[in-house]
Amino acid sequence: MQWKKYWMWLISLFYVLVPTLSLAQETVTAAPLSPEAIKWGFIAAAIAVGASSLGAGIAVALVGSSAMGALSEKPELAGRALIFLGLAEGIAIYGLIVAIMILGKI
Amino acid sequence: MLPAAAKYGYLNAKVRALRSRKLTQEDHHFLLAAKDLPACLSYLATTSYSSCLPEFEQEAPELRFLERQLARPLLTDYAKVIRSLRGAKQQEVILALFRRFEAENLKILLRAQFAHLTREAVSHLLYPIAHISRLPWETLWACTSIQQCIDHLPPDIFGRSLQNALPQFDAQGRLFPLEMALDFSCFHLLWEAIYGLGKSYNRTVSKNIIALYIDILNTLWVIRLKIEYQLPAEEIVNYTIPGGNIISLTCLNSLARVQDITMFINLLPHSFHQQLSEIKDWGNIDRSLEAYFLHYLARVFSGQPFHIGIAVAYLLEKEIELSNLITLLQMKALNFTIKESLARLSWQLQENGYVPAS
Repeated sequence: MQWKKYWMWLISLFYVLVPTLSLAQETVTAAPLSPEAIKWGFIAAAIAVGASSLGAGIAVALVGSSAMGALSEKPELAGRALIFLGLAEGIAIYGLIVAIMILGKI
Repeated sequence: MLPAAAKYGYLNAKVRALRSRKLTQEDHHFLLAAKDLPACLSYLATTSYSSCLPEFEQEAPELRFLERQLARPLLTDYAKVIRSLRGAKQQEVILALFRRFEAENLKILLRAQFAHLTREAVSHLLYPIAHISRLPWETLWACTSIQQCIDHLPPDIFGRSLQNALPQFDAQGRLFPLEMALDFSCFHLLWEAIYGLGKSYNRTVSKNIIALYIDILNTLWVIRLKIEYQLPAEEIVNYTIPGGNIISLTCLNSLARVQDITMFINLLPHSFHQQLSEIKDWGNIDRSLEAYFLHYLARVFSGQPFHIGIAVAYLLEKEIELSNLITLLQMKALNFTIKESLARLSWQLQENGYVPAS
């Protein structure tokens, strides 16, 4: 059983180190971006945040109205309804993360 | 899908929440196992029907005064569903469904006028619909004759159809033509509202539910008019409602002429025939068809969720639950045994509701 433990450690190390090293390499070898690329990067980040916020807005509207419908009859469902509202709200956060990643590359 | 979700998301969630308040299998078990009517009513007071039950210490209230009051939760649900719908056309479908209760109250009003009874004498037979109904009930009850009553009705479908049936009433001297006119106008209104939905999924689902409901009603009316009233086949066909989906007028005509129950069942369309294949008694057909209808309504809830059919299916389900509950209470009042009661309740209660003690 001992060898199984070592293998697990090795695999974990691989998944942690490889992306870190590759990122480090990128920061070392990254060439300066052209103004055109920077412009498109900003536009992409804006679209990512805007579109995801719009999607989250629609999702919250749908989930929220449904939650209100259910809560008006069964107030004890409030906790569960909030979880689903949080999931809908999460869509905006995905967009924000993508935008931060894009901006990090510029 | 997205516009439908935006339009019916609230309604769908609300209706499902309302549906969760229906009597459960456990409730049915305890209601059936209750030793008498007061025990049954005491248990009922712990369910969603508690709001419409009067408080009592030892002697239970008379059942005939309770029956219509038990419809209060159903009628409140009608009001909630109507408020939850955004489009006027969608609201019309539920309002048309609700107007059957208005028609029932109108029938009681006409019968009271006919028999020279006061409002107080028949008040226990009236559905509590004042919070939704648009009819001028105070004016109608103040009238002194049937003619005056019909004149005071708004010129909508009820007013028009009763005016048209008035010569028949005068000629026959009985209320039957007026009552049939009200029944027909209810379903006419319902079809108008459903066709007003346009060629949408909404219309298809609502149309299928109502058409099946009409098919079942027609089948049961044919049996009732043939067995109980022994009317001739031509007259029976005249009293059936148009708009069924699987039972044609020709089929209804044949059904009205048949005397043997096996032949009657064989003449029915395949889906009904399958359901009734083991029935040997006329009295069992209604419960079996009710069970079939309940299965159909339950299927509506497992399909696409965002449409008005969800509300229609729920309200009809609740109506059947109410009629079963009243039957059960009546049997408790008459001291029927559990076995006798089960034989008179619909399939859902028989199969799932009561778990005999081992």
